[in-house]
Amino acid sequence: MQLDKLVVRFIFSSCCLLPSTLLARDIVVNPGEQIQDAVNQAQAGDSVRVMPGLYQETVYIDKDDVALIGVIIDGERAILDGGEKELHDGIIASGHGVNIEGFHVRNYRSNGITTQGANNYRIHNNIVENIHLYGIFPQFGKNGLVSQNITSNTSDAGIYVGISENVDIIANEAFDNALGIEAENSHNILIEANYVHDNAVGIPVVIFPGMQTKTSADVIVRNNMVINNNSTLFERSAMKTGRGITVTAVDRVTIEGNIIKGNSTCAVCINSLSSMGGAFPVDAAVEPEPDHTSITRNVFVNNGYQAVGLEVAGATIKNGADIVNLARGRGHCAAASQGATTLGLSRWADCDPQLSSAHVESYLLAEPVVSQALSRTQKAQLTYHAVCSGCHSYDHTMIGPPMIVIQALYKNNPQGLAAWIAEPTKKRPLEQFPAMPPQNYLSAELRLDLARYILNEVGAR
Amino acid sequence: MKIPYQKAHDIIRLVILCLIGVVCINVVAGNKDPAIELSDRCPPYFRLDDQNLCRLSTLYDLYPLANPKWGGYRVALPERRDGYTPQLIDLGRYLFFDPVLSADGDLSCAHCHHPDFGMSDGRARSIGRHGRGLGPARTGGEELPRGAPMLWNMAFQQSFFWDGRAATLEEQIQTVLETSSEMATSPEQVVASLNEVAVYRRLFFEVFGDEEVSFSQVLRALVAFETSLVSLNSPYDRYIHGDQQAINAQEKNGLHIFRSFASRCSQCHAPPLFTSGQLATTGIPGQPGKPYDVGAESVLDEASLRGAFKVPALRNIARTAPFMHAGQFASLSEAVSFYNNEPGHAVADRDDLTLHWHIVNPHLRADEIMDLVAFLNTLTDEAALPQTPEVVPSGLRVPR
Ligand code: HEC
Ligand code: HEC
Ligand code: HEC
Repeated sequence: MQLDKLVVRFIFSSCCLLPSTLLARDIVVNPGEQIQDAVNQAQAGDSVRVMPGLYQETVYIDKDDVALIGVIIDGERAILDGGEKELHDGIIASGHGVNIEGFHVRNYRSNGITTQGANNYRIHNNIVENIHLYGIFPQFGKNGLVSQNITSNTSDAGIYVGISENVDIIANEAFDNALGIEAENSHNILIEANYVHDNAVGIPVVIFPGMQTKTSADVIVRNNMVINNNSTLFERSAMKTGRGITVTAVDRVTIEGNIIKGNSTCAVCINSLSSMGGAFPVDAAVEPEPDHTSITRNVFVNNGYQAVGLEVAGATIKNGADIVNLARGRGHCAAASQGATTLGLSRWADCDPQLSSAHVESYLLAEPVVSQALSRTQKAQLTYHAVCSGCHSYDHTMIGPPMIVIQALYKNNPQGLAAWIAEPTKKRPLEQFPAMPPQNYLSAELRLDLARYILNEVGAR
Repeated sequence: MKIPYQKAHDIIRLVILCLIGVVCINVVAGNKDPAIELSDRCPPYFRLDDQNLCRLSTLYDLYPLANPKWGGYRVALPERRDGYTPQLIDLGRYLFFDPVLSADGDLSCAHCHHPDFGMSDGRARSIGRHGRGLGPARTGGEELPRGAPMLWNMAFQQSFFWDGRAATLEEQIQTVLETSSEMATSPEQVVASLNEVAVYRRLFFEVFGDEEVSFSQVLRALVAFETSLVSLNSPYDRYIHGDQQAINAQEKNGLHIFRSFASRCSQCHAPPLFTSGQLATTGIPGQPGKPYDVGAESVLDEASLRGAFKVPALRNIARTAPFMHAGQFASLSEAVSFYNNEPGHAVADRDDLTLHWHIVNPHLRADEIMDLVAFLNTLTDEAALPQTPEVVPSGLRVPR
């Protein structure tokens, strides 16, 4: 686990419109101040360092390469609390390369910490509790690390990775949640060395139909402690409690080297989509059976002693087992040497003793996910057509004046053009032209390249 | 954005620009005749490449290349249909506004998808054959079971119509042409009518180099035009690209609720396109006195998709009241409030429906509903609204 290497790598990641500044700054936030104000000031590479104390806000990071760090002093943390204001989320990030670390997040109506569409992220060493839906919820992203967090008392999943690729979930504790650590509609997920206990379901690995991705595969559940997941704290999961690890219609799930103990229905339950009942519409593009599950080198102790909500062919079963299979599918194996009690495994093979996932040390990428490589001129050309051409044409008036007029106004003065578009002042009569929206989100460099492109390249065609 | 785009377009139509004494361009699209010429410029947001093909340009193409099907904020967009010549796109525009495509010569695509009504028609349900007038004032004629969707960002869509029954735009166009309550015609009749118009023969010849118009050429031109309608530059987009002031505090709060997992709006209406492209049963009420619209159930013969519709994209949503497949809600606040209730509350027999698992009661406060509506109003960018031609090649009446 190379947790520290990651931080360094991420700072040099991303992106696009604003180039990373080389002089990374620390912006310190003290109790009584708004964290968001600091995030608004932060630029790529900067760290917002939040001192211990109580903060009641939703912090959103809609920009790249910002670190949001709760400074821990004498065991005291920065606490983000959504309670009194009934806020939805503690921290929302859409920017790439964000690092969220060191917070205590509690009492939010939706999620504790969530990313949507962010790549190259790291969520590390946070305590997240009493959250209405998901504690830590990265979604729609690639290349992320969720490590050494403690999540509890979420009425859905403590950690939920949805529609993602290449995520490592390592060394977290998840307890007293409906679901401990869930991976949904995802690929290349490593769930390793976590302590997952006293949830209703410990580690569900699942594909849901009707989503943007129609397959889910290559999930490794390795070296975790999956203990006593028998919780009935939350009504919606009480009927499905007692499950250590579940696999629902996901392919190539490896369950290896875990200690799975005291889960009343099963240590491992394998399901097809149809065994989930009529809760989901049929999606012809999703194959309903899991294939190629392998279960090796686990320690099974005292699982399946009292099954809850376990039905086989319509009949309720009272006693579960270590490994319960309710699905069909191909290519499954369970190592006989584990000595597990089993149900429905007659068609499964014994695993090849050589079989191991050790070659996958991590699913994180060696290099961050990057954008299309474009030259500065290509970026300027793209920006002109992507933005300016909506309101400006070369030689006739659209919403704004023609470029031919602008070329005359700013002849030999690209600097002037680049500066004006960042903060446009009202120039022409309002009856003829509305105000132009500021283009300050384009970096100074890109604005200057764009100005040169307009003055030198834009013509009749 | 409160820019009077339509007014700006009117100005373009009327104004003859004489600038700096150098250029004098007549921008009036064509006078009564034959002088209709096809544009050699790409529409807004397209760049002409060195093969004379228009390529869509968007700042979203500068973001990291993870899986573009997922959605997100600072993310790349999925594959799109582009690469048509400016002339072909403009030919498609003339066809789109020309009633010559219909059996009776009085119904064009633009009668139901008009620039003055955000490329829709401002009606709960569209009026097809034998109707008169435009927009909410259109009367008589055959009422269709559903409303006309706006046509933004079709270049990215994988299925068409509210129930997703057409897999391609070509299929969608052919359906409209052949439906008896709409254009009530046939490929043969369309081709025959166009071949009778000398101007069309000239324009098709210019674009395709064939003496006779063919149906596949008609489809190609209409698809080229449909895919040229792009909206990806709203105040919301500027905010996402990094202008922290592009939307105000209330709108930002609306964005946070939109993307929260309590409301789950962004799970189905996933940005940047504001649709996941999937089918979902939300439990929108039926229409009084009409049979319940089963949506995708009948398309896929799948009972668990009863009442399922394709998740509509919400770009320019502020321009196209009333909302939902048959205009069930008059305002955005009604449409948003629908979600703030127990799943299935609006349908008579909810046990017949497999509601999507993202339909949950988010228990939003009244101020949060207002914030969501404010946010939906930041998704407006109509810079690429097409110009209504002064005249069309057939000489038939242009809807305006
Ligand atoms: C939403 C429509 C819109 C977009 C998009 C837009 N402009 Fe403009 N632009 C205008 C309008 C309207 C004016 C006239 C404003 C005025 O006179 O007050 C204008 C004026 C200008 C001027 C004239 C300044 C002067 O000194 O008179 C320049 C230069 C300019 N725009 C450059 C750009 C560039 C570069 C882009 C792309 C990054 C761009 N515009 C995008 C609408 C737009
Ligand atoms: C009589 C009104 C009417 C006319 C004329 C009409 N449409 Fe439509 N259009 C509709 C309605 C209503 C729908 C939705 C129908 C449905 O979902 O069952 C629709 C759907 C569409 C869609 C699918 C949009 C989406 O989001 O899936 C496209 C594209 C479209 N029309 C383009 C056209 C074109 C091109 C023409 C001319 C060839 C045309 N329409 C003519 C009313 C009309
Ligand atoms: C389960 C997926 C799903 C979720 C979650 C969802 N929607 Fe929708 N939305 C749809 C579908 C499907 C339709 C079309 C329904 C119909 O016409 O019957 C729709 C329609 C709409 C429309 C009308 C669009 C039009 O063109 O008329 C609006 C506005 C809207 N949704 C906003 C929201 C908001 C705001 C939220 C969050 C509170 C939300 N949606 C959550 C699937 C969803």
